[in-house]
Amino acid sequence: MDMNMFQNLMTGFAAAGTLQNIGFAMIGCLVGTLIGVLPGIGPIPTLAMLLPITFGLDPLTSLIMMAGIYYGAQYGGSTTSILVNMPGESSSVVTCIDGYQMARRGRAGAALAVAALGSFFAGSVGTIFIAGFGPPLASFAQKFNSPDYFSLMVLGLVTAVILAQGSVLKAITVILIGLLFGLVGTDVNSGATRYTFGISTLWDGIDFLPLVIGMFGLTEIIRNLESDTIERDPIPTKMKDMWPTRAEFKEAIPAALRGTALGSLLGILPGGGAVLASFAAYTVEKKVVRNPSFAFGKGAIQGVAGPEAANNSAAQTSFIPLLTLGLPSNPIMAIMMGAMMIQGIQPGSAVMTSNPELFWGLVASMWIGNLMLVIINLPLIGMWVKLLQVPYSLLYPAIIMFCCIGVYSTNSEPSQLLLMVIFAAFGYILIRFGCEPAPMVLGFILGPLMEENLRRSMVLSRGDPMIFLQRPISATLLFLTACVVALIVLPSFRQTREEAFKE
Amino acid sequence: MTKITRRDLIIGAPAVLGAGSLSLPSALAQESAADYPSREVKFVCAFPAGSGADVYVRYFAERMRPAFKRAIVVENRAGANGNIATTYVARSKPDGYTIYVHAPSALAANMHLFKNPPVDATKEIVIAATINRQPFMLTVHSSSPVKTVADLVELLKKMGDKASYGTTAPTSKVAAAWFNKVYGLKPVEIMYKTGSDTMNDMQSGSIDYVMHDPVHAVANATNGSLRMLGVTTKERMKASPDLPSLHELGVKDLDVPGWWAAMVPAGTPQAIVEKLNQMWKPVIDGEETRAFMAKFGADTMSLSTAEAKSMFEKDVKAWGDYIKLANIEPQG
Repeated sequence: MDMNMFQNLMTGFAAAGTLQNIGFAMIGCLVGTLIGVLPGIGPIPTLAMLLPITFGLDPLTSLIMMAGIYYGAQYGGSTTSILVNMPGESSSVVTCIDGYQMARRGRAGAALAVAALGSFFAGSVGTIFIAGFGPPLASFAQKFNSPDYFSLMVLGLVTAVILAQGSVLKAITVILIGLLFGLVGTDVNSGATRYTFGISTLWDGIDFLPLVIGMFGLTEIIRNLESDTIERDPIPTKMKDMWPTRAEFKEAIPAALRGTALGSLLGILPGGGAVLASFAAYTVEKKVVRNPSFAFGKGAIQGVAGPEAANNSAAQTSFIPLLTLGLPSNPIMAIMMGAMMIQGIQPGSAVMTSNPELFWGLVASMWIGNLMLVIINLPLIGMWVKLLQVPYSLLYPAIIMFCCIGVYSTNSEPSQLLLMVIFAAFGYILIRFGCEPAPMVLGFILGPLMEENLRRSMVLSRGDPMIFLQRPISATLLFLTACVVALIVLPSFRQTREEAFKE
Repeated sequence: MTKITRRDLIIGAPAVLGAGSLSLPSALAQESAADYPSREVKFVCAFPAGSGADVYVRYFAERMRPAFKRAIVVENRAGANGNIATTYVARSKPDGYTIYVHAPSALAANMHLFKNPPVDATKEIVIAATINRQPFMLTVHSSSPVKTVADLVELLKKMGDKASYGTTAPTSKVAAAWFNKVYGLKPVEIMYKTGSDTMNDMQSGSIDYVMHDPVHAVANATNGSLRMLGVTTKERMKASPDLPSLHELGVKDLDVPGWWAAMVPAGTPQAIVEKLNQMWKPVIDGEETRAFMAKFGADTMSLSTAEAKSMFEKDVKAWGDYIKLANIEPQG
């Protein structure tokens, strides 16, 4: 660890702590929370639209505001996942599983509070992580080559089987369906278009938003409408009832700790790192927690605390490759990189020495931003929960309208709305057959990355599959995959797994 | 199509104006050229919000605002290798209010990358103002012992088909294939989606060189992870005067640049096209844009509409040979 870390952090807090910077951090967090809550309107178009405004600002101030939007959106995304089963971001898909069930039990307030506090804790740890271990971690992430990525994706997909409730066969089926959806579009290697039926919107593959909003949000609305009376526990109105109980905290804290550790590590990997983090955290919780008060999938608080902590710490550490190597790890980081370049700052290891105030100021602002989000969000919990009292006849049309706006605004293509409707129908069919949509989404996201890296590795090795065992990182990951498969196949495990859901 | 010819005629001979009901639409067109722009203008970007290309488009949306004196809205129509945006612009009303800020070189490439290109680029799209010219860069990892193109050629010759190289875009594929062909090199091509994807494989030595886009190459050369060996434009770039061109190093006549322009649908009154050219020119020639472009390894370029047209047509023809050279199979 860097011995000067504390001195550096002081430099950072001094730079980030000016009134102007804190003000813009606040604006960023507010805007971020707002767009996170509105389904479909994500941080990427928002940041892109704000980019010209940042030309006129001081570089640090503009980055602080953009970072605030990024975390704010992460927070806001979890809010809709919990309240209405609508993930705005790929990293909050998992939060839907138990968060929404908690809301149905009347524990929406507790779920939101745990998500906010867990995220704050994870964000703080992530900040220290960047300050202390940024450069060495970045050089570790650099060791990941194509075969290693492939093996990581395989591990991710296999663990997704544990994610699902009920039959292993159904879980595998939906993951495979997800992989197939991921294949749609132009193949990187040959340029051939696959399963596009001549429709040009499909040339770049199926977009994430119509798929996830259709399959989660709209499907849930259809399902609720099909029953005459919607069963939901009375919604608490007293602040005391909205706060997590002591027992809930006791279950949530260890989960948040595990999630934080997992997220911090996976976040540094480019591509899918943050998404994998939340899915992996859920899997770990399901495996580690022996006797949850509520089963996973039925509103287990661990299923909210773990993934929420994981996606937030991953959101922090995803800055490491950008700040130390100049490599953006996701589209949002790519925009931040563009913003830095416009300001005349070259992202990469040189930033730390040439612009220490900027580097450490940004790191410090991450913590400030996270603190601000807790301050903004905890009082809002009461308001969000009240939102659930709005009659469905008003709430649902409003949600559907926001979904349509969000999906349409991604690239102004009406066909995206059609896709959303198709996926809503598909999601409904899946649920009727007792299949879970979450593992499918993981397959859909990881599938294209997995294929790309598999084929690239095979070309690099000139067709020799041993390349996956010769590289130590890849071999280790495949060994772990084999262990997970063994766990799934072992009958004793299968029994406990099924028992857990038969209650 | 008759409407377009009529308009063109009238603009050539203003005396006919107002001669009867037939010339009414042209009169309106003529009027709007003087008043242009009288309302909000739309810049179309063929890449998603937040992409590198989007940064370009939004930069100009910001810088052109004083010239237009109107609001400029950026519309992202991403997908299908730019074909979605190109089709959208080609079908828009040819009134100068829909401006496509994109690379004509990419439009030229798409004419041959697809079996049935949805738009006949040079016939349906008109260049109002050119923006820049940018090379691709031949790069190796900074930890590589290779210091010059000659070193690289020697290494690749020794390795034969054990060598590998990375490509990230059609232009990258063409320039690399040309380079390999001239020296009789036989490395295996590994395809990547983005420049960032190549970095770990470059560092571990799995790939020996990559033909990178200038944005990625310059950024990573500045921070010390890449070494640039040469550019794919025939002349050296003003943005990187010390970097030799591959042409001068022996890859004779290699000239595969990318270039950007502001384009409008065919049928836009010539007076508006010329007016746009004049509006863009000072911004393109300005020091601020020069410095902005230099950061991404590009030189600004302001041509007349006639020069731009002939450059566009030349490019479309050249790409027909390029895809054969790079062995790219057109897709449907």
